Amino acid sequence: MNVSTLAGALWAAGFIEHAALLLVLLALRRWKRFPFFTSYIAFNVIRTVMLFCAFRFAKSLYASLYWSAAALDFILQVLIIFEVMRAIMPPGEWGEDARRRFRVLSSAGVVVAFGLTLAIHNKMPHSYSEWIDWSQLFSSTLSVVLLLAMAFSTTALGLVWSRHVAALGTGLAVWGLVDFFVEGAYQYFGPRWHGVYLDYFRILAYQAVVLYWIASFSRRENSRILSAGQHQVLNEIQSQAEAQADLLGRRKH
Amino acid sequence: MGFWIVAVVGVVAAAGFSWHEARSRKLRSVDFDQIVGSLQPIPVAQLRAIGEIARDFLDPASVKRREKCSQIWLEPEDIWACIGGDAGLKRLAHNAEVMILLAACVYRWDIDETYVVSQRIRRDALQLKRGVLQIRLARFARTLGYRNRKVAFELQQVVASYHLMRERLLLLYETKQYLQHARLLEVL
Repeated sequence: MNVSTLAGALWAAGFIEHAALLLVLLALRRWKRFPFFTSYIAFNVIRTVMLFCAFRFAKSLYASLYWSAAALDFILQVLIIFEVMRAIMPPGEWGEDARRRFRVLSSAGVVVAFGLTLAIHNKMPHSYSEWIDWSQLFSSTLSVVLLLAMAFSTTALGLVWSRHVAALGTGLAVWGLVDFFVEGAYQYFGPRWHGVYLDYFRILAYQAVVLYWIASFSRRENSRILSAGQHQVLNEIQSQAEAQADLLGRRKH
Repeated sequence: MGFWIVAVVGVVAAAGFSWHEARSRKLRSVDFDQIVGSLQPIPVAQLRAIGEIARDFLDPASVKRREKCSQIWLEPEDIWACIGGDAGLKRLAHNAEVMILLAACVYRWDIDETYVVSQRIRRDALQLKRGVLQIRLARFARTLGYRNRKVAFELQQVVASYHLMRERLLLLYETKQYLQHARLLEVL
């Protein structure tokens, strides 16, 4: 098994992009707000190095390492969706209504994703490779359904997504959709349909999303929450305005 | 079969994400001046009448202050005339939508309290829209010769919901965005 020049370039580009994004998240302290997302990117950096080393020096380990990493990748992606929800939802009892809506929609989403996977795959898996195909399709379908549940449960309530949260959500949605279409195509046309080009398309789409995340997380959050000092200044202006209004009112009378 | 499921689910999901993105972008980039400019002005006399009708509905004890102490001092025809008829109803429905966006404007500055108030405004808007739909359906049915007696109650509910939305929004701006409160008071 040899790696083509294009595959090698994609591998190297993926590593550099993930490392750059990790640097942005750590240096600009974005990790505090998005710990799971930062863990996911760090995990991707380590995964690329480990898979490359396994490919070069211990090929027998490659497959088991690849699939174990894929399972962890999926778990982290689901955790990121919940992390985005936590960032959008208001805290406390008042936000319970919105959280319950998401819980109901996401629970229904698991059932829908299971049903869709069964319908697309057409049968329950038996062999090891069938289980892998089936779980890949299920994970991509579940990601799309959970993201939709999150989008609808927040947009219906008019909750405003901040710049970083929106970038994370949009990136996940684009990547989730491409992954779903590619997995669906593989299930229907077989894994050798158009050779590896479909897979390259998926990798390029993901790398474009990572570049978009680097650009978005490098920018400041569009929060306009006032600092304590600014609040004090505004309160003083308000008091002065009220005092002047009182004075004017008294003069009129 | 599998191919069609993937195609349909994919297209529906893409449409859902696009709708969400457009809506989310709109909420994120709302410009106060632009949104305020899209409010349809309501004449002062009508606004006063809306307040009176709403208070009659929300605070029954207020009728004690009237000459004729009765809870039905206004007939449905009077309420209809007070809000400005069909055009007035359209204005209320339009302004209700704009008020939701105006609440979202404040949400960027303050999260906790604004979230709760904007959800109250949203619930009022939902009741208002439901009422407007009922009234429109009833008016259409009337042209076909059917009479719906619920309309009178819906009318009062619509007016009360609008009044509540307006009061909540003005108070929200007064406490959280007082630099823009005066401008809002001028047009709302």
